[in-house]
Amino acid sequence: MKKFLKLYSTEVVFAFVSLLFIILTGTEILRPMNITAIFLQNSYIFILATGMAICMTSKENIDISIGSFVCFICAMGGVFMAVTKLSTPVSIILLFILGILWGLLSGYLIAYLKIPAWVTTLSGYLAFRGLGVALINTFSSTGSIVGINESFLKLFSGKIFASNIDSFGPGSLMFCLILAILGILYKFYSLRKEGSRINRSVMIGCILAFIVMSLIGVSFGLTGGVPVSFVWMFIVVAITAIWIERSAEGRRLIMLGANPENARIAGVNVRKAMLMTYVFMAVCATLTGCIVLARFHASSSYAGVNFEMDTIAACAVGGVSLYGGKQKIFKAILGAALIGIINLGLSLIGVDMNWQWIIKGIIIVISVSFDMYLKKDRYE
Amino acid sequence: MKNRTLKTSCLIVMIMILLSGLSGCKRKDPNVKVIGISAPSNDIQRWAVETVQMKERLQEKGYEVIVQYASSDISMQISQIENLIAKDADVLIVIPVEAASLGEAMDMAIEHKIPVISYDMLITNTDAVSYYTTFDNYKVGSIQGQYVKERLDLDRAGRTYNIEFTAGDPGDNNAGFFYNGAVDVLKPYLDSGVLRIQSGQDSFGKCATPSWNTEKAQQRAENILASYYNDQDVDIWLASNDTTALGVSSALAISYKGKYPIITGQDCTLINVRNILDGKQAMSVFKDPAMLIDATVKMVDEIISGQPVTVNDTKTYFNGIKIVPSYLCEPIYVDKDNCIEILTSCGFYTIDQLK
Amino acid sequence: MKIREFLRNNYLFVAFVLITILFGVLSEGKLFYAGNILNLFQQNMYVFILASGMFICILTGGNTDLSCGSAVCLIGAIAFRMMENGTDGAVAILVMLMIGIIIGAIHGYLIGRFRLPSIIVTLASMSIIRGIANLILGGYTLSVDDEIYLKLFGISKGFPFYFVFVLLSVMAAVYISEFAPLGKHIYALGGNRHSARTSGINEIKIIMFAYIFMGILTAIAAGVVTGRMGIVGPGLGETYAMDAIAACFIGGVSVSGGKGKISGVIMGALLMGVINQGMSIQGLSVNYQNVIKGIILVLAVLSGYLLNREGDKRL
Repeated sequence: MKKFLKLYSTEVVFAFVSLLFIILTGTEILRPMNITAIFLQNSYIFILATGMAICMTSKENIDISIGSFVCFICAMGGVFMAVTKLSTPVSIILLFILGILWGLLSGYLIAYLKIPAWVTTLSGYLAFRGLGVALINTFSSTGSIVGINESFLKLFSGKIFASNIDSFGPGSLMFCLILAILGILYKFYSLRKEGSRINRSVMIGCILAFIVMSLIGVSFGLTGGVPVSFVWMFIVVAITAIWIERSAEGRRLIMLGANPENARIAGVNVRKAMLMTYVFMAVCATLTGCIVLARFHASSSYAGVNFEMDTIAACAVGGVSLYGGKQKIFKAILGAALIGIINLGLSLIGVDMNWQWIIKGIIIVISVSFDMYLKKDRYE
Repeated sequence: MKNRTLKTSCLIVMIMILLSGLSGCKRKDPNVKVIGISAPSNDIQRWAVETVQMKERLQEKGYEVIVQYASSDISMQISQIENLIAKDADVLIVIPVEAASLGEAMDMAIEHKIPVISYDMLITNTDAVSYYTTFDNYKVGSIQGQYVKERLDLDRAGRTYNIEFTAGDPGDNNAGFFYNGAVDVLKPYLDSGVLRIQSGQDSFGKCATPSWNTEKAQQRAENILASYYNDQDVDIWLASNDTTALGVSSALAISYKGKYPIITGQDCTLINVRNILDGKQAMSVFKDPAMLIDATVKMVDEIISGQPVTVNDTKTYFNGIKIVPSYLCEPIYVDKDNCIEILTSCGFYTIDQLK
Repeated sequence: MKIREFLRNNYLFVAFVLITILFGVLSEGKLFYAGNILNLFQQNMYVFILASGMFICILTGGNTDLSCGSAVCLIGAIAFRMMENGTDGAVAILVMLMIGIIIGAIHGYLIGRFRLPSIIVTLASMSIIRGIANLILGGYTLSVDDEIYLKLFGISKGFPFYFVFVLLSVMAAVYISEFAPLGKHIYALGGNRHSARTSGINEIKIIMFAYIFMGILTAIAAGVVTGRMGIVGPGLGETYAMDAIAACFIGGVSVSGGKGKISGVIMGALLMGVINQGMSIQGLSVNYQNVIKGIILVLAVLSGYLLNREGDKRL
């Protein structure tokens, strides 16, 4: 039994909590608008958790600057588009350049200069929010910069396959089903490549995935279309998962996480790999910044508040081990979805905000302890 | 084997639940009107109290009311507004955490054709706002300036007075109105030299207090007092609201030895009212929430029943996209002489609270 | 080069002197008024106290306490509510201490015994504690008029006990780190965990101690801060943890533990304090202050690290 729990701890917790909230909200959480809400409101967690999971592959590496960096990106985006009136493509490119630069800087400080991750990113946490707020206050007297380009807004927020909210839009369902089929095909392909058989277990997983995606697709169809942030989320997760499994760098990263010593002996450039994880995290943060900017329609000093908490909670709950090792991106996704369900569920029940703070904190402690307990044989 | 059975049973259970959930998707009873209220947080006395009162008044009228508090987090408020819409709200009353940043939530309100009433703080940068109810924010500042002017009889002043300003949160759209309202009344005297700002901090940006935070207001006041008022008195301290006034009076209590200045405030927060009675603050501006709530509830009634909506200002409040029809309530000031009577007669506080 | 040696060993002190002179000149000497110097001390009391505790925690191996700010608010809120309901000030103060100890013990246990990462634990507890504090305050700002409380923690009346508290906190940290045998164990643990454990040092005990110490100091800070302001309200203490951590790093405490002196921490706190005050007197917006604080922190950590490099400790 313990073995089952150990392997599927995340899934078990997920099923349990989902059931709990389904009961507590009187199945209201299953309404189409609410299923949509989980993705619409929490896409940032999914993307950031994916980045954080990669980042955590190497021992004790973490990035707590992501929230503040999102604020900074929002501010810069506002400056580029509203103040210096640059076009959308140019602004996006500039923003990602900024992200890569920060990733390189923090990665360098952490991987090459060996400054512990939490300090470096702590400085980022302080500096970027201050910078972001200072920028906003320099260019605006109202505390936020408005006037974001329409095309930018369309690219990072809103819906595709848009349909009337009073009717059903089949486009969304088709889209989700296609995604599901693509995912399943990929799974078959990679199993074939490894030479494994496609057994019952995998089949059940695929059917589950298909059903879940169709449910999501139906929800989107009933609520006006597929949220753009969902598409971004899917892209990020898919690319990351495929890259980890298929590419040489991905494999090296896994080796690095599992056993840094062996990895080094085997010729993996450990420092470069660590650096790249931070670049990836920064890129994820930049994408999130764009999505947040588009969601707000403005640069705000409140952008990115508490993102660190939610992301770490998502990873902790999903069982992404803080002690490095092979990360299954899927776990991060489940963790993020779980946090999203908890956020939404508590909100639907009408739990006082302060109790939500308390509950989330407790959840983090419990899940990290649980993870610790299961992996007891791993650490010294 | 065991693995597979577990997985299969999980699968079956899941399907059953999902099917039941989907079938349970009922549209709500169209006769019951739902009002959604979205407030910035409930750890600010004002929102905690007013939203509860508004909910009661609306429920008396037969509406179903859902209140959400956003913990000062914009992302959360956007999500909460979307959830209120998902719960089939017919009208939304929104107090924004930040005026310009409700982007997607407002888009959704437009998409679902839900009227939005902006309460106390004007939502900007969107077409979605239908109406605005507020106290006349500029008037609040004017009342503060007017109080100082009359109390010291500045028109016939025979001497100069030292004055300092403490303004509010630079991110709060209203803070600018408060500051300008006061400064505009006092400007002639500043220009003629009757009023002097010893610290030289004479613009909104220099006097602003992030988040209206009391501790920050206190620190700034302490530094100004120690730097400029060692051997002279500060006669007036114009604080835009009560939380900042509290910081100023705490700073004075610690180290100031001169003649106690006239301190202004706003909101009639409980601890400040007690200070007024003790002489540690001169006045505060009272914005009887009952007035604002009444106006808002009336507006909700009119919107739902399709009657023309009562507004008394269609020129002042431009939110970046359009001019929002507004209903402005009149603020009044309270000081030591009249505060007990005014605040207890309308039920804002009880006599016991003011002991 | 003798000058370079001097600079390398005392870069913090040099920076402090330079910056103080800079702001002194900019403010036309106002920075040095007795009132402002007193302000400098009073506005940063919480930093001195909390940083002393944070210093010990970091020494044990890079452990932090991100929740101390929220805890200050919670402890103050509980004390004020109790006194509001008629409890004696002395009893309230005892309760404050107890709560600090309990919080510290819980942290110490989770971090020391279960080896959970301190960042995550204290991030979570920060959330929990803030939630409880807000529930207790219910949105209200509370004031205090208890004689004993104000006498002990207040500013204007009588003997400046608050000064004694700061002094005691700092000296306790000095004693622990420099003179007590425990101190050597702490440095050892932070310096090299494996060897420390194999040589028989009880890691759990040391970490428990560090966090309980932190908890006690948090309670003292709560008293001193709420006594000075005379009130406690929601949002109190939001930046305190960062300020304490910044003071430690600017003061040259090694970020992974095992190195650093309390004198550096105090100097770091003073430096930040002078910068804050200097900018405030100039009328500079608080947002720019934050940016500058962040940049200084980065520079401090970087330069401290580069100047003190002693080879790779990690892979």
